[in-house]
Amino acid sequence: MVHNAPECDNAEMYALGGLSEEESKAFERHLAGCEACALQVAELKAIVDLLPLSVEPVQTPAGMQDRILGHILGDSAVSNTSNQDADAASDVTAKLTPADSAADAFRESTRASDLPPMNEPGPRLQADVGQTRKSQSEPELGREPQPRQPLPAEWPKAKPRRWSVWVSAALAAAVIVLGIYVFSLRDQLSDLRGQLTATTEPPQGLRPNEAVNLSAAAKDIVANGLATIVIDSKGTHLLVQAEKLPQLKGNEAFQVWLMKDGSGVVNAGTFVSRDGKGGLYLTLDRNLSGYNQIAITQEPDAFGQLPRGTAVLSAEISL
Amino acid sequence: MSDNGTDAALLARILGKDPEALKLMYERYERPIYAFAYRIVKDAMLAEEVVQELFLRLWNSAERYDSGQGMLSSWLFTITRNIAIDALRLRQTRTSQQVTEAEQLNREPDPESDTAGLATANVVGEQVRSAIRSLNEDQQEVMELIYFAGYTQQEVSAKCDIPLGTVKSRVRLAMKALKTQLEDIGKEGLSYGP
Repeated sequence: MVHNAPECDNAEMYALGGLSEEESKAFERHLAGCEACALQVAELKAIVDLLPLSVEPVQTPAGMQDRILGHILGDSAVSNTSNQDADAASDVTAKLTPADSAADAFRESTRASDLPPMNEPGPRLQADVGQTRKSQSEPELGREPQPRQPLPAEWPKAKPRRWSVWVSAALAAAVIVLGIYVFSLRDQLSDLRGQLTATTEPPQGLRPNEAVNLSAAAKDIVANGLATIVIDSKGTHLLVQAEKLPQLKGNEAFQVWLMKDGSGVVNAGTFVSRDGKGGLYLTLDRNLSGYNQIAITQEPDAFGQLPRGTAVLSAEISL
Repeated sequence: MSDNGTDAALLARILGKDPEALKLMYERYERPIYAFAYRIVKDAMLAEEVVQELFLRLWNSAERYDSGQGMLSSWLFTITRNIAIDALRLRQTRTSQQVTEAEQLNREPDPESDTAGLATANVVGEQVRSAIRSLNEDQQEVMELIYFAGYTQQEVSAKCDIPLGTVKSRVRLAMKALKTQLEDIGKEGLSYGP
């Protein structure tokens, strides 16, 4: 194929990953016959491969390694250390802070709803993704669905006819089991809808246990805010809003803390501001009786478990 | 260090389902992979899911790696980008904040994170950042939208309301400039391993 064909113009865009799926496939067909383009793409890919290094380092979430390795090795029938890793992961879970608990609850709810989880290669991450995505011939790893249970070494061979009867019976049973399962799911869905309705009903005559103005923690800070706390049977609900916040840089984030006589500190979540405004809503399912101060700090990132940055806003409260 | 700890050696052990090898590989790449995933999805929980998906695929399908196609680190980053962008599209959490801040390419590295193990990567990283900073704003914007936000050239054209030909030419010029500045590093590649 002659170099300088119209397709040759796509080399840079292909290497960068900006072609649609169809365009990518077309370009790959062209690549197979255009040595000059193949060479050019190889050179460009070497440059593109450097772009991830331009990313600034960020702190990894606490316990991520245990969670990920515990999950992977725990799912593997081959691993002989999976139990240890899984135990390590559960230890971490037991020590989670409120913010992490929320993250964990999210994962649990994802599993409970039987959505295809991200950790099962296939549907969730690939199937529904925009059809316009490229699929370059870059190394694809584990793209095909991989069931958790190991597949049999061979598919059953359809030889003796009587087996087909058993297979039919088994299939029929499976259909029934699935039917029951689906019914059960519908039942759960109905319950969830009921609960959702209950929780989304507008509160009547809601009376905050605490509503305090947050004042600047230092002279040169012009920020102000409001913290509203409601305690009911579901826990302690905290609503924090702030404005005129200092400009964040890099990975910085604002973090809310509840404190008890300067000793006990509870991480009440992080948020980033937009145009100097920001806030968060959080439900803490633990007894916070005795906590007497709320503060917002400017932190180097959103993952701290203890205050590391500078205080921006604070107020006395009485829980 | 013995050859036992090289990427290739670890990969071979992972193929043999050695959990310790996966752990070593994870420890080697956790931070750069997480930072890259976080850079794309801008969400800590989603970034963790991306990292998990990557290592799950590595554990289950390490045989897909072909050393003839390039370094393991490049391969891992490429797959990470695919997973992250797919996840981003799936979750549909795109906001203007996530895709229009071309200046994000210019952010300075966190000096506290410059640990010995990643010092080399950070030196190279600074060279790459410097090369990116040398691009003009328009070029930086298309690079950001396509590479880090996962938009196709048509989507960038529509989003920025510029002709497709302009998107192409900006990418072409940007890539040419980066190639001029980074060619030597690109040839050498980068290894996080021993």
